[in-house]
Amino acid sequence: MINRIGRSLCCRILTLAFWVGACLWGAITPKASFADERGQVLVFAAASLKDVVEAIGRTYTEKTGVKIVVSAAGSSALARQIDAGAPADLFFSANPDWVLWLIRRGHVVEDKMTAFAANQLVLVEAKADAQTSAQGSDAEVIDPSFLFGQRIAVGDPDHVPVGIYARRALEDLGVWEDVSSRLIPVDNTRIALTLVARGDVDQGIVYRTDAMIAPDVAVIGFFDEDRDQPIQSVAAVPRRGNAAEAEAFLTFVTGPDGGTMLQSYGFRPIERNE
Amino acid sequence: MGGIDPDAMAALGLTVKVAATAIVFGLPLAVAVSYLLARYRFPGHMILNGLVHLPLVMPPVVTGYGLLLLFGPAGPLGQFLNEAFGITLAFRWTGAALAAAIMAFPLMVRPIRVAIESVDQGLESAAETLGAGRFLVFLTVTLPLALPGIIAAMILGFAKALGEFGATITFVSNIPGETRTLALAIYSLTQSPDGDRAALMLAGLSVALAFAAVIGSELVVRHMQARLGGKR
Repeated sequence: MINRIGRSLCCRILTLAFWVGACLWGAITPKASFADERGQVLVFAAASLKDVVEAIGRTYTEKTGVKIVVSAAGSSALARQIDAGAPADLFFSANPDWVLWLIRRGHVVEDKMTAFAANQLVLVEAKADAQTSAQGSDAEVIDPSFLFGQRIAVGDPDHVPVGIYARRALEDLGVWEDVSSRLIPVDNTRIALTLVARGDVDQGIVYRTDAMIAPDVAVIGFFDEDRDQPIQSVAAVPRRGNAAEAEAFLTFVTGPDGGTMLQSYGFRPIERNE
Repeated sequence: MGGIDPDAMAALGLTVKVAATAIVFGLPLAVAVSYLLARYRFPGHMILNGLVHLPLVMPPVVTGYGLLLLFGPAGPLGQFLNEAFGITLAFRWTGAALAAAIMAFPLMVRPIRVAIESVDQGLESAAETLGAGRFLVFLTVTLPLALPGIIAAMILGFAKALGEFGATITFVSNIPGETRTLALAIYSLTQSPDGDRAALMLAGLSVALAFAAVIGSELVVRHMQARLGGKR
């Protein structure tokens, strides 16, 4: 009896072992890393830059045949992955902080950091409200009278980059003390935009690029640029990646074709003083 | 099927592959650990129990970051696996499977442990008196009697592995076709203004998958309990 059970068990265990082995084989079969694969660039892009980088990547692929693969997550997560040895050929960060961190840790050569797009903070309202409001155009600079909302959604000024920029802008206007009690801190710009569009809050402070693509909100003015700490997205070429392919793509992004597409997504070109 | 985006199909296929791999490797280990916890008292019992449950209570991002530090190309275990066996986990789908297995592990151990504890130890001793060794007793008595719990655990773990997000994106990034599973594809789509519809569709799909898995486990367990109960 035990013998028979033992045999049928053996059969089952062998079958299982076969499948496990097959899975293992698939798992460990060496596969060329992204950097080795010719004609492919693995780009780590901040989630906020995903769309525009993918769009530029598609145009680039059409022109050169080089495939652009985009992995999108928070800038901080991507930077930590590069620190841990991720095979990224190119890194597009939403702000310079994480690239500076990578430079300090020796993963990026100092002169391989390129600011490629500038952004701006804008004040938004739900479209329905904005139509009745007397104020309002994309071209107006915010003054304190614009900030009449009882509840204003912003990124958390303590740790979310867009919130940190918003706090700085409000301080520059001299209204931080007055406005801070009316702020609704949220985790990211998408949430702020949703709250504004639904009328849950009166106003929101978001990036120009995000406001442009949100259908139900209207921009009622922009915050004057901070000369000392402009809002810039930066690109970096990590040491371990395929630098030649990465730099060719980066040149395309910062060139006229990339510039046009960046502008169509609401970014502003960087004025280079060479 | 023409209406479904090929990227979404790729994400779906990848997700099933990742979750299945996580369960194929995770389940035997979960059974072993559950058996150990259910049948033996040893120094460090509580510590092992705590360790197993850690992924359940820690923020997934922390688990993912821990995996990145340990199994990343520069991490101690990552380097060892690479040099000794040529296995790379970081930024590969295999790493996503590891993250999913670890996140699903406590969800598998709990029901299996309960199932093993409820097996009548008198039956095990009876088999031993008939000359079966410890291992054969486990295979022929304990395992079949605990099977409903094990299958429930497997399906629950599979559902959890399907939906894993935080540890995965932190450990293996979000690379299309390699590590972009359903949950990560949904996240990526919500970053695009015109991605809401596709995101909703994928979200519906993953809800349906998870729901089917949970209901399926419930049905299987009922069926098996009826069978086991009926034979007594």
